Amino acid sequence: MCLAVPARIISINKNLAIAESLGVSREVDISLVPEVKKDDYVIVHAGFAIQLVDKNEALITRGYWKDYFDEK
Amino acid sequence: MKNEIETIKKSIWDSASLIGRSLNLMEVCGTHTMAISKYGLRDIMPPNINLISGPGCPVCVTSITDIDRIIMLSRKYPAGIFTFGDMIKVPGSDSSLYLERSRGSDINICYSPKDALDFAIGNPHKEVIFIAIGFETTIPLTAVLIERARMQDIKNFSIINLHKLVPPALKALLEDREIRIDGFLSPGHVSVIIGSHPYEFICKEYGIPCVISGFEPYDIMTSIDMLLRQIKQGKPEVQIQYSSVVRESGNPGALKIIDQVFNPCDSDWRGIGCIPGSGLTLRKKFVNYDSSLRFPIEEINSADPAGCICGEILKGKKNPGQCRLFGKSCRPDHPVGPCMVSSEGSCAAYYRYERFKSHFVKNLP
Repeated sequence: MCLAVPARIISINKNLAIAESLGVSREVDISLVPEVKKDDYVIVHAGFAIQLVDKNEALITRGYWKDYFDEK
Repeated sequence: MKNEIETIKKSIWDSASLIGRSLNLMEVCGTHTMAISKYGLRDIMPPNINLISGPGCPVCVTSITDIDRIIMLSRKYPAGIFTFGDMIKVPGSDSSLYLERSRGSDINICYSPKDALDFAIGNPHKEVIFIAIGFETTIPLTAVLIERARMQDIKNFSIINLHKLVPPALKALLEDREIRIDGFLSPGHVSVIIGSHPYEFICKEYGIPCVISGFEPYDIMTSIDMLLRQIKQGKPEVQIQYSSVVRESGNPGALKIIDQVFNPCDSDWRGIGCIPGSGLTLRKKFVNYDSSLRFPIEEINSADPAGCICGEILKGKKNPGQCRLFGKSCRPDHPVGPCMVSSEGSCAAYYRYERFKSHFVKNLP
């Protein structure tokens, strides 16, 4: 139920935005992420964007194993 | 990526062998439940690592009394009831919303709670009831809509409030002496809202590590590895693996609106019972949006289905293979308990992905 998917913001109109995920565009409520801008990535749950995706952090997560090797 | 997965797997096996004793790692999120089964992660775990599921599916933990109450309401009032799809097939004592719809009740499946409010706005003469179910991920959505309904003076919209909070349920599990939990894979999208601080008591008071995990197999395996490293080092803390969207402080705006609209209260969880402070009730200025006050129904005597062990499964005490009904009288096409109904329930996950596997009936230690 707590399923959420990443999407890219295409356009914003007040508290609504059009967000695109895997080629599908859909209206998304952005009341919970008022700081969002066009081209930001957000995570969408049941029609609401609930958080911005931090691209750098996404890359760092993937780099977790790099740290591991350095540690060894 | 294949090499990375192999490296994580090796690290998990090395840590598990060093730790030696048997470990129960619990996830508390239906999406984790499904991902672990779907990607066969149990198959590649060392023998002393048990991946167990906790009460992570909001539909599954909804008490049968609440289900019966909605069924009764749908029979008694001509309101339009809006619900997420998972709720519709959950059996109550003698019916389900699916059956009631076939008998003429106005029950609608919606993708977003916003659809329910939009329908109410477009149909001012029709009473609209939204079944507000879900953990912290979903709660701010309901809160936004309640506040919006009040701002716009929408009078024909109300909610059946079944929202529940995750951290108090984790505390209840930790207080249960019959379950031993050695680490929590904390729910990713709940944590998007609440952040990492609400889990800190688990490490400080119970000495158990928590890792907030993403949902890809890579994420879950990495999180398991992080848990094992914490156990190995004897330094339990809350770590965030799903750092692309989870911040330590969560989503402060979402937390603020939850607090503006709701007050904490006690709540009944299927299989666990009443957990103090694990539910929410609408604040005084929003009580007009409470369906239970606007559409009163009589007291109901509900009884959990005979032979169903969903309660034990939700607490991680038993796995679905230990239920006598599993795959026989209880199947996805004819579910007896909620864990088989919900697409995120443990029984549904085991039925779909794991029922032919050898570890399936392995008893928990």
